[in-house]
Amino acid sequence: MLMPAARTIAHPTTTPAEVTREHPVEAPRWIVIVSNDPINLMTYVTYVFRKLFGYSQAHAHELMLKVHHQGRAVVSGGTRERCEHDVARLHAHGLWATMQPD
Amino acid sequence: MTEPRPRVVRTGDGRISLRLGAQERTILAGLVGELREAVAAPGSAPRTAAPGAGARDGAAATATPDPVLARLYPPAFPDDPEAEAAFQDLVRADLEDDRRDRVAVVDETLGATSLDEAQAAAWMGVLNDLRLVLGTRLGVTDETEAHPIDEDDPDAERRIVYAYAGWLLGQFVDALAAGLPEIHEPGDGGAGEQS
Repeated sequence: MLMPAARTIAHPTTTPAEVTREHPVEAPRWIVIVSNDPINLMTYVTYVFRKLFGYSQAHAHELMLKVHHQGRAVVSGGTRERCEHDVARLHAHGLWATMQPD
Repeated sequence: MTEPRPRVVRTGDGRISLRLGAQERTILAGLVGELREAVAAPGSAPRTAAPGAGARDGAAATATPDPVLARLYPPAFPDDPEAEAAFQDLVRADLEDDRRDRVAVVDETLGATSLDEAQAAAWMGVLNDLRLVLGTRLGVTDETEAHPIDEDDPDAERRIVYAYAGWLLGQFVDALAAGLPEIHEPGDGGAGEQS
């Protein structure tokens, strides 16, 4: 599990928005998955999602909780190149990210 | 007992103030040295493919990777060795450079009492990397984290350092998060005024 740091902000009614901020996709679509780990702080993971993907605090928090509780979550998607870029940025931030065809 | 005052605080001028005691800075200097060695330990991927013969044996082909390196540089394609080797060729050297650059920034600012945004981001990255290195070496799991540190544990001191790095990291995260633009997405719900 991600490690809780002090506090969390509840956003109970948010449906996990499908990650479709991408441009229209013609090529085969890929997805980026972040897996849970026992080291990364919850607040840190939320911050990284906000910073890298421009997600709102609520959406980033939701994704972090999904990783935390379900073990993994899809955090972005798009072309293969786009996903490779996202995975590399997540790795640079120490998150456990992989990618696969959708 | 009193709560320690926050060490990392965003100030009005867009900078981040850092209040660390001499002892903390000494501990951090030692840890940063360890991290410098860990991020580019021998056995890291070749920075460039060897000219000529088999350009295929990238990092993914390594038999038993060091667990610390495996954690710092996880696979993008765990089930596809060929794609993984190509990915490592593409990104590994850059990731190592990123980490070295961040370590260099922290080295230079170990005595600083005020950081700019980029320097604070480097500190945050270094603290997180330190936790990945220490946590991997300590075999941190949800289970170990659920209990207080046992004084008789031979790793007790390292576990305290690990916890300290997490405490300081959390403060950097809060300070840096406060500098991100507040974004509202459809589906976020709530009635927050946009800023």
